[in-house]
Amino acid sequence: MILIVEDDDAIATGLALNLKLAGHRTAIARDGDDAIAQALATELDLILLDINLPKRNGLEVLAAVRAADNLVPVIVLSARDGEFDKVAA
Amino acid sequence: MRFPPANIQLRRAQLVLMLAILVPTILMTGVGVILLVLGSGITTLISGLLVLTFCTSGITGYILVQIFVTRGAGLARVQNDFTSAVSHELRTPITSITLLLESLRDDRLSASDRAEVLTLLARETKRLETLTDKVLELSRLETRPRHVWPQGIVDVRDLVDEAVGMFDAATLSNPTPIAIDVERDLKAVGDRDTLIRAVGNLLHNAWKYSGPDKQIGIEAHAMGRRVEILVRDNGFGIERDDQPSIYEQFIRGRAINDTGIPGVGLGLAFVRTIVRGNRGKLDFESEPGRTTFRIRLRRVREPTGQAKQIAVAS
Repeated sequence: MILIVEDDDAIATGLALNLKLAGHRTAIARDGDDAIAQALATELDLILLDINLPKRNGLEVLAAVRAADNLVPVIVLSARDGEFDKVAA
Repeated sequence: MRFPPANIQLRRAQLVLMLAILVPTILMTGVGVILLVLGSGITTLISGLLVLTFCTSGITGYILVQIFVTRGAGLARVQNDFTSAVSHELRTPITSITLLLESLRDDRLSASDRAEVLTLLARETKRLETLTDKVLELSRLETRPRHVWPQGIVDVRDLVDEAVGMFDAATLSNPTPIAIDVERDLKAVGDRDTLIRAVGNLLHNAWKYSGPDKQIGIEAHAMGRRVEILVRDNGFGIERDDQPSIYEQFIRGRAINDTGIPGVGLGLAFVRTIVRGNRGKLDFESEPGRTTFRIRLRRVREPTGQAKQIAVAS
């Protein structure tokens, strides 16, 4: 199961459909709180994580997931490509 | 606290500059003062004066360099922030369009998924078009020379009515009455069309960023040589931390981002550009549950009597 954390409808749907065509199961979280709740409640294989999110941003989500000793692989997907964001992720 | 590397480099360069110029200059100033105070011969006094003159030039040069370097770095930072914000806002719809087109390949989607993809593609394309139009329009207004802005006489009641009409058309999904209180025979100097957009934009913001019990009012009156137009609402308010940057392009308050209310952060940049272009002033007061934006424009005073010459208050 892959968790897509993305608040933009079109990007979330596009990712979900492409992953579905590639044979994966997906779930979508629209904000930081929802992402943390789903990440901690579900056995996940991967998280695709946006940074700009309502409620809590992606980096806060990542910190909360790791703080719970959850070592699920995370790929940060973001249009923010500044040096600061890359290093922070 | 976030310090981009460029800022750190600038501070280091400024420190090195300060040490390389100021320390020897201060030492030499001391030498010059000693020569003037303790020197007896005319040659020594002239040498002391020359040393002090040289030191003054050094300090003046240092101050000028500091001013130009700081200003240049500030402009570069603004430009960099803008480019970064524009590229982020443009990339989002481009990424979604790419992803959605990819999913249509090989015709493997179910009929319902395909219909959803086509709907999203149409929406994203429209979003990209709207965003591009807005950025180009804002850039056009910002670079419009001051003397090209129309200097017409604008009837403020008519301006407010048109802005409210624009607001009504944009809020058909949740029509909201606006309390209007405009002083009679009030006239301002400016470009009617852009001012309607600015006032309409403030009204739309008041509607967007307030709860279900929306109370929005617009008021206009004369204030000395100015016309004041006030747009009030009982909305969420602008958080103190967000207040300094609300007019910046593509910047939205964090609290507003959290609400999920759509927007890209261009509305107030438009309003500010338009008000500035019309040689007016724009400010606001905000706290939770109460926000007032104020536009001040130049007022036209119409003298009574035979000579109906229009005087423009400057």
